[in-house]
Amino acid sequence: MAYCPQCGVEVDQSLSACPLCDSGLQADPPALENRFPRQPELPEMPRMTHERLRGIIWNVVSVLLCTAMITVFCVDMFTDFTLTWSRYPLVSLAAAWCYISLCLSAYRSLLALHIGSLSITGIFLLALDLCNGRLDWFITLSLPLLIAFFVLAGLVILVHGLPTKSWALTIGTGLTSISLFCVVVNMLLNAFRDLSLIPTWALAVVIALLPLELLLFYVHYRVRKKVNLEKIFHL
Amino acid sequence: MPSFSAEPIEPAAGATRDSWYRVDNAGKIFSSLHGKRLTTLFRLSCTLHEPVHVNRLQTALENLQPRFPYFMVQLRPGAFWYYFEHNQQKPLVTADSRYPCLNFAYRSRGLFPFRVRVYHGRISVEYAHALTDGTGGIMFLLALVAEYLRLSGIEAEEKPEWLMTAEQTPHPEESEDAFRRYYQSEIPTPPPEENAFHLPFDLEPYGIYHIITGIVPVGDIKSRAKDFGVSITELLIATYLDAFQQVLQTLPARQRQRLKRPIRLDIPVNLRPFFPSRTMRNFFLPVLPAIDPRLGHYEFEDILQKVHHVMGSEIDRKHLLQQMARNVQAERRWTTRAVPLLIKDRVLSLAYDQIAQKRTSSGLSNLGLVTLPPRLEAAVERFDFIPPPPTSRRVNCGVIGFRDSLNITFGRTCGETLVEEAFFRRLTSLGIRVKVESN
Repeated sequence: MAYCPQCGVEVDQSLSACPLCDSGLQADPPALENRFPRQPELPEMPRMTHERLRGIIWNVVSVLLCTAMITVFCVDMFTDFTLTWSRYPLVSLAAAWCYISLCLSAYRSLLALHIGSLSITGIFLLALDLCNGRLDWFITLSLPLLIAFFVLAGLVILVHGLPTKSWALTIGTGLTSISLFCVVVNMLLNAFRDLSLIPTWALAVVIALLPLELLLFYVHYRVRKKVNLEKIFHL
Repeated sequence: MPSFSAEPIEPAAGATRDSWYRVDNAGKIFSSLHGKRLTTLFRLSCTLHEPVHVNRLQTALENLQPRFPYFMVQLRPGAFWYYFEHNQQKPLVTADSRYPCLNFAYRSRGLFPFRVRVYHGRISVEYAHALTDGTGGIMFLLALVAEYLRLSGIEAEEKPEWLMTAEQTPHPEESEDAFRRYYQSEIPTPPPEENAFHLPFDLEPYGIYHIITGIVPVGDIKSRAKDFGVSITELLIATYLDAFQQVLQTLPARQRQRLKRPIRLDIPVNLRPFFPSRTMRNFFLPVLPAIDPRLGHYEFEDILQKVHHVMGSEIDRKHLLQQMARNVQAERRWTTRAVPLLIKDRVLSLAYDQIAQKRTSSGLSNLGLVTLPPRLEAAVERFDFIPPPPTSRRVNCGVIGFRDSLNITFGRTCGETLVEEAFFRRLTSLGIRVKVESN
């Protein structure tokens, strides 16, 4: 008979090592000295955990960005005695700090990252537009573009998270989103320049991508069953 | 790490690749608890007289897969709740470690919410509480041990009805959420309890879980309980409350005054005898016996009488229905159901640690006396029950009996052993012999 001296278990004689711990085997059953194995599962906890590392990165980044903001603010104030050009770098640095904080705190959840970055980008663009003292392009151009981008990107993320996802479905949805986004961009730019709303160059993109999208959806749905929506959305 | 081959397997009878199960009412909270320390894993072990043959145990585990399709699952996140999805992998027997019930990322894709571990003659199963409770866990362990012994040539002469075997077909009721069946919406919910006394000791670094087991002769404790006119569980609860009272009294005066709050225990009650169900999912509710040190010192006999009356009045179908109504109503409220899982995870984790755990000083779970058919019983040395690692409560207690021994196991995440010392000293002062061992 063959026994593992570490685990104390009997194993098949045909084996040369314990299937649990890879130790060499012995012929006699080992004596039970302790009720539990002496070695813990993890030899030692690493000193630098991911949480701690993220905390340090956040602290360093916060100090650096704050220093840069104070410097920019002071230079502008000392030269012009009012806030002029420094509004733009101040808004940009604040947005950078928000993005970094979001990535460090919500890096595990794609949905949280998506919603968080939507909010930060919206506020950032609004603040940039307001730096002139009035709203020029935020409401008419950047806000609709932003919403369109995040809705379509959200669609791709949602599809990617489905249990029945496949590479064909994800790429197909991504290409469809690109087509739709081009149409929206084309229409919004036309509207902003007081031209006709009918898309022009975006149609070329849509027509070029359509066969590939259809092919990818065909590949996915030919081999895949329907998604069990009850499983995902049961209340 | 070397291991058995982990080829994907075909779904069990009655389960398809698309099979999925709702998480039960209690499991919904446990599945949302994140954080390394809140593992919610509890362990049930059976120690055989002979070293375990590891390949045979692996075969026994595989043979049981069709019998327990609702255990052969993986925990997956939905939009609003977690659910169990059929797992195509094969559960593998793994090596044991010094500190049980830790380091098991069972929420990861492809992992089972339980694991089977082996050391010398001991077969241990560690369950995520989202999957099952102690009763469901012990049924699975007994089935695994019986199948292993059958493969080793030891078969029961007559299989009792309650013993689940590989050749049986799973009953649909075994995977039901029995809380939903018996819940009555019109019952008013009970008022919440105030916060309880907690041991003021520092947590050990993550990865350490101290286990102390006291082995007590059933005859000794039974006769003492009989003398007092209480049950064994009531005697153990009273001893545990008394141990906490003693620890409180050893604290420095200022700290004692600051921490003086009711000493309240969380005693899970198996609901199956009151509300018949074959469910292998969670089906228990807590009863909360307590003493309030602000009212003065309690003699041991006073605590015993108080516990006896509380257990008598609270372990009652109507009272349990009221507790059930509170838990299920919270789950079924639209404001709860419609909250995305991402937010629920955070809120439930925080609420469990900061509200639910703070209402009780510790937990004591008694699984009762385990029995096996005589031939199988002869091959078994003992059973053990290790409770889930506590966080804010610092210490939990699990009790299980087999033949003439009662194994009382304390799981502790702080360095101080004051509670265990006071507990076992009280037992010995009552004339009950105690043999203590630890990890």
